[in-house]
Amino acid sequence: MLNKITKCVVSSVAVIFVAVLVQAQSAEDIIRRYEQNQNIKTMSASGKIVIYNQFGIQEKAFKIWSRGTDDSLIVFTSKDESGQKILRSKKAVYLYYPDAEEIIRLQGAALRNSLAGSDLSYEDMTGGKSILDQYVIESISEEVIDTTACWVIKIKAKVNDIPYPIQKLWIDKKTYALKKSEAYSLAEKLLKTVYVKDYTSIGGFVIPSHIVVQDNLKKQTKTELILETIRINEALDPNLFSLQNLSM
Amino acid sequence: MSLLTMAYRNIFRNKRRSLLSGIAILIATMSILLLFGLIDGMKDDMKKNLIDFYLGNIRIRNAQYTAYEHLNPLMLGVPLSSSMNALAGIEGIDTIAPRIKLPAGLIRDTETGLLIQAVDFEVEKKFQHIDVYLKEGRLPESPDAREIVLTKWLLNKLNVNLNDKITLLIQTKTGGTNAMTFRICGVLEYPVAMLNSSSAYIPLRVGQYFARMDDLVTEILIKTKPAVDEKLMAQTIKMLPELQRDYEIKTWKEINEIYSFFEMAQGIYIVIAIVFFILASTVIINTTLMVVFERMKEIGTLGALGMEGGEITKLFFLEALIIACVAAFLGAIAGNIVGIPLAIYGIDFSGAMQGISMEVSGVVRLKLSLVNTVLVFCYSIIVSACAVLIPSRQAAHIKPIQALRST
Repeated sequence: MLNKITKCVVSSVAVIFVAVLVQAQSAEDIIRRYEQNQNIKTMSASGKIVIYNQFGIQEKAFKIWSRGTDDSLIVFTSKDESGQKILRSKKAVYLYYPDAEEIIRLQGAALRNSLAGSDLSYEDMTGGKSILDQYVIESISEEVIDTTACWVIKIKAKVNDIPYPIQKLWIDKKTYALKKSEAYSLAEKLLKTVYVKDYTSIGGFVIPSHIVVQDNLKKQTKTELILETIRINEALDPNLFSLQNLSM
Repeated sequence: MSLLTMAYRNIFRNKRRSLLSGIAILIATMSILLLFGLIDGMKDDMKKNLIDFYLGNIRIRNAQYTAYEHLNPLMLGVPLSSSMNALAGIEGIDTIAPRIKLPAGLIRDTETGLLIQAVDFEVEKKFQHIDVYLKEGRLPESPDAREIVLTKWLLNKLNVNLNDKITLLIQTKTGGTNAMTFRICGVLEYPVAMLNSSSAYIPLRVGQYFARMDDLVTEILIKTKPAVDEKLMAQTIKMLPELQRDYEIKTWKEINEIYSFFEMAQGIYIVIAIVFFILASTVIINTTLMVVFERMKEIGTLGALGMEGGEITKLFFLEALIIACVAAFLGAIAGNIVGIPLAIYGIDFSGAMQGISMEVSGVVRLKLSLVNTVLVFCYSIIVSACAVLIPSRQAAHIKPIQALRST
């Protein structure tokens, strides 16, 4: 009798273990599929950042070019920021201001500063590494957001130098595009919320084109990031992402 | 022989004891006079610093700016041109200084924060006498020069030198960022530690462009002509149609709480002075009591000869009062003699003031006044007289028979 119970318990545990293992693997697969969807060789777009806060609404227009997941260049075109550039390379974030004689390399705590007064920080631009290289999967579940069925994957950082130690990702079951994400501190305090309102499908890729970002540490603020005229996999000048080009 | 003559003669019967009582009153008078001088000096110094460097007599700000100051709300500014036009018609204004406060970061190996102010240097020469505090170099050459003047303290903190170039990163009016390179053209040295740790100035027009302020400034400071009632003027400014709504118009006293605290503290110091005098008076009380016990037979004889109890009280009271009057007078003179060099050269508190957020100069000069001297002199006499009344009255209660029997 006892032997039967033991067998039963062992087999049940084994079933649960295998089920968790299968689910964990599928969570990894989902993450891989999600990252595959972002694996665009080059991209260029124009867009705008709309910032809402207690002082009103501010709009900043920009052009963006990116190469892979490491390099990107943002050039602001709106009147107040005209000519300002942000270059992100694998190693660092550089800022160019037309009235400054030197290029500013952001590092350390300065990366936490707000990007153009928005809810995004320069830190949000950094890190082209794979999620699976930096995080372990904690859990996976399902949820429907605005009629979109999503996988909800909770990930926890396995490295120390990372802006968001814990994240929850809502990934569209159909398109494997990000629908929503929440970033948490180690103490599980909500730091930032990202919500994708709209997508553009181009060349087989589903690209978020209207994103709402909310810095949960700030009061009464939100930022909308809107991408227009997106073009992908077109040849870009190889010097575009160089420091020399930044000050030209 | 009158009571006064008798009392006067009695003082010299035990010179050492009288001298001791006198010295206690003298020291108390002198100390309180110096303390009052120091507090008045600090108050005057703080008032001058607050008006010259920080607030003017009247400050105009956007009504919401102060509430959001921690967020650096440059969009909550004051329109310069229309405000200047409106203020031009008001009598009694001496100088109008528009300023933009810009928290900035100097990006080097690490980010170092500092507060820069965009100012009109020609106006600031008159407003805060900025040229007087210029120790090295010069002020920016033109309103469009991308030049900055820093305090010596900041120069050392930022590890830069005169004529070096620095790039500063700020937040603009629209919440974005902007950076600009400035040449350090001048070095300032202020008498106030708090100013030395935070003052950096750039030309107003450059600041407006740098922070994309258009015609806005964060505040307009107004210095009134002497003898102008600043409260009344603030009311007049509030009535201007251009500044009637959405603006905070306050006098420097309404803004700075520390100065009001100083004024409140002055009342407390008067109480402390009285306690101090009472303490000093214990010496004269003690002396008078000893005299009463020592002269018991004499009191008995005076009583037997027909001197009334009230007259005996008066005798001892007058004796102590003469000592108090002379000592208080000498104390007032000594206070002024010691105070004059301290009023000219001041007392150096600069070491103690480092790191203290108070708008008081490192070197504080005493402010001696005739009013304070007379006030302290009178205090001294009144408190001493009241104190000596108790032992003097005791002499009147002694019966002649008992007094004559005492050994």
